[in-house]
Amino acid sequence: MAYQILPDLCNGCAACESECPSRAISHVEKLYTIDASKCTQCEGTYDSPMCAQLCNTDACVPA
Amino acid sequence: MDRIVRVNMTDLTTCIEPVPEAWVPLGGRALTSTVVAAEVPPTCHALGASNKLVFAPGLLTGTAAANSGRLSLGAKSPLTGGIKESNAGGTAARMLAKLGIKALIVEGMPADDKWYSIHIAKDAITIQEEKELLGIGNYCLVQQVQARFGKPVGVMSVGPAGEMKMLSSNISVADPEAHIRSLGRGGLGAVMGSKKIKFISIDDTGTPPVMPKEGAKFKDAARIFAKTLLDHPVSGQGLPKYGTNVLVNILNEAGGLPTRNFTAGQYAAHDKISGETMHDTIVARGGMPTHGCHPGCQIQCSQIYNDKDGKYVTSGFEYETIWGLGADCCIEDLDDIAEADHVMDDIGVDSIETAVMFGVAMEAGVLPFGDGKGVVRMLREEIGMGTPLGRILGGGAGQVGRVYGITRVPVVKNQGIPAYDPRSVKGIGVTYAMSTMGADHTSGYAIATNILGVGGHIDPLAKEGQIELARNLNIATAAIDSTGMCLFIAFPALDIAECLTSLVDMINARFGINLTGDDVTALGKAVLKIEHKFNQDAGLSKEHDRLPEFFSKEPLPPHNVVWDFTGEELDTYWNF
Repeated sequence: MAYQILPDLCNGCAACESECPSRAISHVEKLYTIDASKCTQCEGTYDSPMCAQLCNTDACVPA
Repeated sequence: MDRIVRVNMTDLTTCIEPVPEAWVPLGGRALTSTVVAAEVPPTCHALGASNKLVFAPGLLTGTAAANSGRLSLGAKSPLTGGIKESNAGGTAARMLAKLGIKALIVEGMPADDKWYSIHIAKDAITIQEEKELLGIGNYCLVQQVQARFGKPVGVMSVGPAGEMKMLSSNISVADPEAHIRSLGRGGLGAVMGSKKIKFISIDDTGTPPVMPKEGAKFKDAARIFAKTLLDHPVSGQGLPKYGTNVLVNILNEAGGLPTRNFTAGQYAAHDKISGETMHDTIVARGGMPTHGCHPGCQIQCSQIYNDKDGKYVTSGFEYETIWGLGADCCIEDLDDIAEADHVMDDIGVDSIETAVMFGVAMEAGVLPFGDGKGVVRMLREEIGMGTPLGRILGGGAGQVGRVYGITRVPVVKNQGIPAYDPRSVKGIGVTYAMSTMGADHTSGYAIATNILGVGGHIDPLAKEGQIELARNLNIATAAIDSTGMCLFIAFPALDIAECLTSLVDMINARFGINLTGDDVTALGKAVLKIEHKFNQDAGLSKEHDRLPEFFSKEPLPPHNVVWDFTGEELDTYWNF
């Protein structure tokens, strides 16, 4: 299962992008989006998905 | 735990030290300038063993704060003879911060002729002799270094110009796409070359992001901060769409676009090189009109510019570069300018100094105005190859002016004046004259208030209020440069009160402290005073805080204005 970014909550702050270990997060139309095919939920890198830990608006949630 | 890493190139040793108490509250420019002022003799030769390179991420770098990934580099500048802080995006700053390295100080100089590389990882710092990658350009070097480590390590490198210790040489910083960002100004590539370092690589594997001491408070502040960046028309709309090159048409309209080596303020072919034209060209060729220079950038003012066949040419294609080769050298073809930008990044020369230099060289008859192909050829075959002519051109605008006997040489403290004519935008003229960095628009960007209506409006053609404006902007910039923030956060900071308060709140939450806005202003003032004292001790007196004479003698069309500040008026800048 991958994570997703809820566009209604995302404020485009880029916090998630800088720490995604699989570079699954990209900038689209001022907001960020997760490529589900690349998302590993940070398995093997962090204890829990780092995007959700860093997100300032609780926009990063399981897809 | 933060630490200071020292690399001694004289005896090829490394040392990890705790952070001295006085340096704990500092980061970025505040730290680089403090270290340089404390440890580099102001009268030393900038290319000698006594100079040091001080790399420092900012106070907020490594955290989740938007746009906090700028890297500061300090040293004595071989170009200006004074103190220098240059900052850039790329991936290195965040990696250093995550590794807990508050500053990387490179000192000394090898006694022999060998070249070296430095590798920084979580558990080890190593210095290795480098033979394979000498003489090659930055683009290829970044690819090769990342291939050597099998991962996208951070890379800071010098091209051939830095190896040859040219005064216009810069230090490249790899960005997330393995393209080039630059610690551009002041000839710091020559300092790295003098220490015989081809590149520094950084591996942050196994390091988590920097977590603030007060997480919930930090998130609250970061959320507000990000909203102000998105809400402001410059950081939220103009810069993301057109990049900094949105300024060509704006400055042309204002009569402040220096043209044909600073002999006019408007350029007839401005539309061919404008941000609007560039945007349409990028989109038509499948490039990227919006792009970030470092991970965690929200503003996305960078872009990827492709050629007619859709092949990558350059990124971070900035207004000042396009102005310099475009209006100032009268090159109308944006593709020629893009190609020149690529070569400048590759051989490792500052694209502002080099563009200003070519304007002077064209006036001297070294090549004709408008000769874009000639510029590309000279970059590759003269400067890049280190021919005698290339060595002269690589010394920057001031050197070319002296060699060819030219009197219209736009430099302050021997550093080329960028992109905004001080006669018709007087606030930026005060910054050029007074900045501790030499002519540097980023040290007090008065264009904001003189031209863009950000932070109020002060008539660009009048003298009133300009010294106070430039002083306040230089103080604020010195503080922003210490946080690791991109300077473009200054646009919302000047107009939206919550931007600055949330920035201070993020710093407080990061460290568990209680700074006020006044404390941040005091930090900016302290940084400028430290830098000013270093410059005075290095022999840069108030007579160096002046613009070249021609600005006072030659009226600039279309407004037909001259630079009319007296020395006594300018000296009041330092009354704080």
